[in-house]
Amino acid sequence: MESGIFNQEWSKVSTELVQRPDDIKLWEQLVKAAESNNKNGITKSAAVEEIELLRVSYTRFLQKYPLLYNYWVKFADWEFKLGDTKKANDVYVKSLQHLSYSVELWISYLTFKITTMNYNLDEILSLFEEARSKIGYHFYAYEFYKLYLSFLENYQTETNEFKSKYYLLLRIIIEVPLYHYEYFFKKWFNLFVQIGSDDAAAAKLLPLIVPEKELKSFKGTENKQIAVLLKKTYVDAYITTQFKVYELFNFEKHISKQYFDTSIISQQQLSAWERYLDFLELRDYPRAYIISTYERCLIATAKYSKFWLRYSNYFIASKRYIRASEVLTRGVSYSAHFELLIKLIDLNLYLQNFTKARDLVLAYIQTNVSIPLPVYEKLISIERLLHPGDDDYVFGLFRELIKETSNDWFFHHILNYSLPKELKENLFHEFETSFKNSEVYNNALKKLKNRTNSQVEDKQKFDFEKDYDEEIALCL
Amino acid sequence: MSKSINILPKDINPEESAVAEEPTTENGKIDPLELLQHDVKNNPNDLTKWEKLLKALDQIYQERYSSGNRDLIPEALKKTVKRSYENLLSRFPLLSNYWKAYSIFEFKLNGTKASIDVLEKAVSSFPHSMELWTDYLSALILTLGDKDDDYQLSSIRFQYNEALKLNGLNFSSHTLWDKIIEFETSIKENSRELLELYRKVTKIPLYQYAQYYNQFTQINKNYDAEKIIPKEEFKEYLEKFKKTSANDLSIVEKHQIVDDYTTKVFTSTQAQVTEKWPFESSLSIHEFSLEKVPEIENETENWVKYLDHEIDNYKQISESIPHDNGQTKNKSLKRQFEAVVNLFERALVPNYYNEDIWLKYVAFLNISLQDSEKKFDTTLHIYTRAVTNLPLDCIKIRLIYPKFLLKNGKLEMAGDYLVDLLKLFSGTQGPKIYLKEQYCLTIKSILQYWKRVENQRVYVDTLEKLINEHLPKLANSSKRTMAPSEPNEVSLIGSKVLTTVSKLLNEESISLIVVAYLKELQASQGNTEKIREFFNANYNHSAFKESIAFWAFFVEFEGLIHFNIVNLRFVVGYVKSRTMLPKSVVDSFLEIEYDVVSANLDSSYEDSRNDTGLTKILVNKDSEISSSIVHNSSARKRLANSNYKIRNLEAAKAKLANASKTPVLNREEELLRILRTHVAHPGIFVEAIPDVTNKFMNEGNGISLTKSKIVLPPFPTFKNVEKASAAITYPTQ
Repeated sequence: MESGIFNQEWSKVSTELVQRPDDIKLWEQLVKAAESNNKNGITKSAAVEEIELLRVSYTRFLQKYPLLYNYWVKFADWEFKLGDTKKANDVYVKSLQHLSYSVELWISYLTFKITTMNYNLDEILSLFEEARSKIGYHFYAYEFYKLYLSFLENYQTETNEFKSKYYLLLRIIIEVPLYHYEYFFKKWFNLFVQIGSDDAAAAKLLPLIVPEKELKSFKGTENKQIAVLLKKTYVDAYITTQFKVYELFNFEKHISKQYFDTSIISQQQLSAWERYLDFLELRDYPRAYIISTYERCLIATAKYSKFWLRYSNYFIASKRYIRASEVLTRGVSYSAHFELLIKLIDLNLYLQNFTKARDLVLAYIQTNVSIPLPVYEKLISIERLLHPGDDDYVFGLFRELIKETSNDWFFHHILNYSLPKELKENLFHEFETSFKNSEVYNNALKKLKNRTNSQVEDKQKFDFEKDYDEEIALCL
Repeated sequence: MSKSINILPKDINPEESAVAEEPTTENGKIDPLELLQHDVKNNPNDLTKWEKLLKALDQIYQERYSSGNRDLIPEALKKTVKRSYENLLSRFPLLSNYWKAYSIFEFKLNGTKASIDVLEKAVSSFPHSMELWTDYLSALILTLGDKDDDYQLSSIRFQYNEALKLNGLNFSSHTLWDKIIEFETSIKENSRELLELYRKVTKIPLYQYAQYYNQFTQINKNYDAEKIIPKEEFKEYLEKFKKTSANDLSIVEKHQIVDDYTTKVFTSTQAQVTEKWPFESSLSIHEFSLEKVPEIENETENWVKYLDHEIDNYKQISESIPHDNGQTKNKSLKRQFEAVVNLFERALVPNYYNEDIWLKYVAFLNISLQDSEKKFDTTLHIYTRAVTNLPLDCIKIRLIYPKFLLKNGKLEMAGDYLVDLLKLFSGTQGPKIYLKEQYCLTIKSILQYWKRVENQRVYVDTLEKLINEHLPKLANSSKRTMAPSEPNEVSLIGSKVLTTVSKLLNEESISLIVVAYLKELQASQGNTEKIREFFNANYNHSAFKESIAFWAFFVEFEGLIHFNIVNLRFVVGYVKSRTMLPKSVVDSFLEIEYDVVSANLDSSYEDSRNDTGLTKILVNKDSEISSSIVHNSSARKRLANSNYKIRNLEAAKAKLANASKTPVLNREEELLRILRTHVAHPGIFVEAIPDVTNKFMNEGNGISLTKSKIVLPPFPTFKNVEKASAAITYPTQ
């Protein structure tokens, strides 16, 4: 890059990054260097190359760490500052591919959308609804709902029904167990106060919060009386929500880290999530609520295979294999853990997508330097399946892998295969010289012989003397 | 077969029940002495309780009879004292202080003879106690009236030689030596006996070795050089002085020779003491104690190091024998053997209940170079001591012992012993404690023993007989596997033994026998169908609900030998939902199922053309081994099927519904319900949870705000709201 010549700091950091691509501090320095632009800063009037350098830095950084919501927001802010609303919007859209369950990101995005509003209220409303479908059950969704309510309040017109939507949203919110549930109940109960004390307000409000059927039955009843009735109904709602909030808070309070970073997560944190999910699943919380909690959890724990596996198992249990497969694919890309790959392969095998399964294994083997044994095991398993009855082929594969990896595990592994015992014995024999001192090899050979030989231990040859001497010698 | 169990600790009476009953009250008054005796009986290991009882007995004596005539002491008291001490000391024979106290008490009650009798008993019960031997010898010497009474003299000498044989090598045995030397000196100066004592003691590495050297240098000139010095060495001295016989030596020369020899012995003994000192100085507790157990355990390691050192010395000497002059080496080998044995005996005083040291002891004897008959006798003696004195949970030595017997051709003895052992652990006899682990290991040993001493036909026959008696289904479903054994075939497994063993079997052991039987079937060709028949007839028998070995056999049989995935899935499926095996075992079976299915995908798909069940393990293995009851459906089944609360509820409901066939309860649902009620606060069951019944969160109830026309949703409806603030019922304590 030409501009690199001008920004020495940037060049220096980027060279270091080649050596240490996994150092997040360096990445942060890189972005800072681009922003500082030799202490000149970046403005609209900066050189095209300098602006481009900033973009490239952010793009690459976020490619590597797509779950850092604050850098997405910063990036979008830069584009906005640089006057390109469209590009800023694109950044947000892209960020949501990774972080659609991040409350913070949605709030920035929606705020940005409101700021840059351009006769597109309906589009923004749809966005709010999309956000609600993702983060609406988030225990800390208070800011989001506040923003949503103020949006509906501020942009209501005679025609757009925002007013009635405002009350409906409030009615929906109070059923959600939120940390700030009191705030919304206060708003809701205030309406009853108004109804009971101000007839004009009551006439306006009642059709907005009472369904038609009940409205008819209220005819002739005093407003004061109606207010009391309404309050009674919703006090029960208050009690119910409060009960749930208290229960959930017992779990929420143990979870301190709700965002992604590269630090190690303590075992306590991991098991706190685990307990939380157990609780929700056991209590039969609605599926949407559970999924939303899994997604929250996975923002923080994306590097850990455990929760991806658990999430996929959650879908497998209800036979939603496509969703499970999506989860695992995401998991593979965020955590790069081979366990998830194995699971994904197994899922494809179960669904009888044999070529897909094979492609996954081969792709992994081609792109990785060190291959974990389970991946090789999958390879053999699939090759065996695709070459039915061809014993020579599978023995050839075993032979090749043993030679290539010098790993004795394969001798144990081959015992799982229904192959002629003579051929198995031949394979053992072939590698005798190189593995005769290996415990795994010898144990496997012993098992093979025990399982196939019908020879009984020969009593005549049994040596009481040796039996005792050997055993007692160990006690000396 | 022996009638009574001969391997019980001596004080356990097989007829008596383990816990004594409360003492009976007469006129509402309890005899305090009786209460103490009762206490002791129920807490036989608590020395403070014994202490109280013995003190109380002494007090009775002091208060009522100490000043009077011995004849006035009632027999009952004498008997109680005797029984109390004997009971304590038969349980803990190494408590030397109690032997001493017993002897003193006996003296007070019955006089000198009785007290010496106690000491005599003491040294035979605890032969490796220097202290008791010293006391015993002192008492014997005191009773020696006439120095010229040859009979008494020789009997004392016999006893002290016994004492020296047992304890003379003990590093701090100088009190014993002193006592004996003092005794011989008092009988006659410069006697042959005295010389013999000094010749021995100066060669032993003792803490006080220098003292004996000094004493000996003072008197050695009184003896003839030829008497002091062994022949071989004396010859060498003669050659040095260029003399042909002792008579040619002058007195000065003789003294020179004696001095030289004594110094040589001293130097060699000194070297040995120096070598042993680091070990000896690391040992501070030499007595048996029930109070200082942790301190003793801390020192055990030092004892073991010392033993290893001495055993190494023994090995070195024995290895050098064939290359060298046999005579002297043999002599030093014998001496080293005695040293090691002595050290073992010393180590076993504080570490009396340490099974490993006993095992080390017999292991040492096994490698020692004695002639085989003697070796058998000495080893047998140690084994007998160990198996009768070690606590019941020491199983290792108890199961190696029969192998020792087998090695020495005592087939019958080994068999009888094993059956006795089975009786002991089965909880039907003796202390009436069922020790499951020990019991199962004993069964395994018995099976191993039968397999080894009998031919296969008799062995399988025996197993079949036992199984037939306990699993009657087998008899209906199968013909005999092997040709019946000849009626006159000599078998070590007599019908009596078989009946005895059969009576002692329970569900745990029958599973082990079944597995042994199945393994025999598998070992001979052509029994595959028979094994499967057996499985079909018996797999849901309650005996196998907890048997890891049984299920492991079939998992291996179907999965890894026959690669029959349909059967494997059935076996694992049954295990995971209907048995009570530990989770780790079930998990390992699931791993095997996963591995076998993965490795044989072709046949898995083939066998499940229309049903994807067989390959399901590919995707649900994780859930199946998960610890979450929500995800792990088979663990849920397994737990639900064995949960007593659910069973009880089911029984109660069935009674009410009076319906015999239709299940009255979904066990899994019930289990989940129970879990649900206390998931928020484990242990506190909250039956009613408030909720909105028509909540928006429910599927289908969601409302989109993007719609242009809004229809207001109905009012919320509730359940259990009134119970939200209900008082919590805490579990009763």
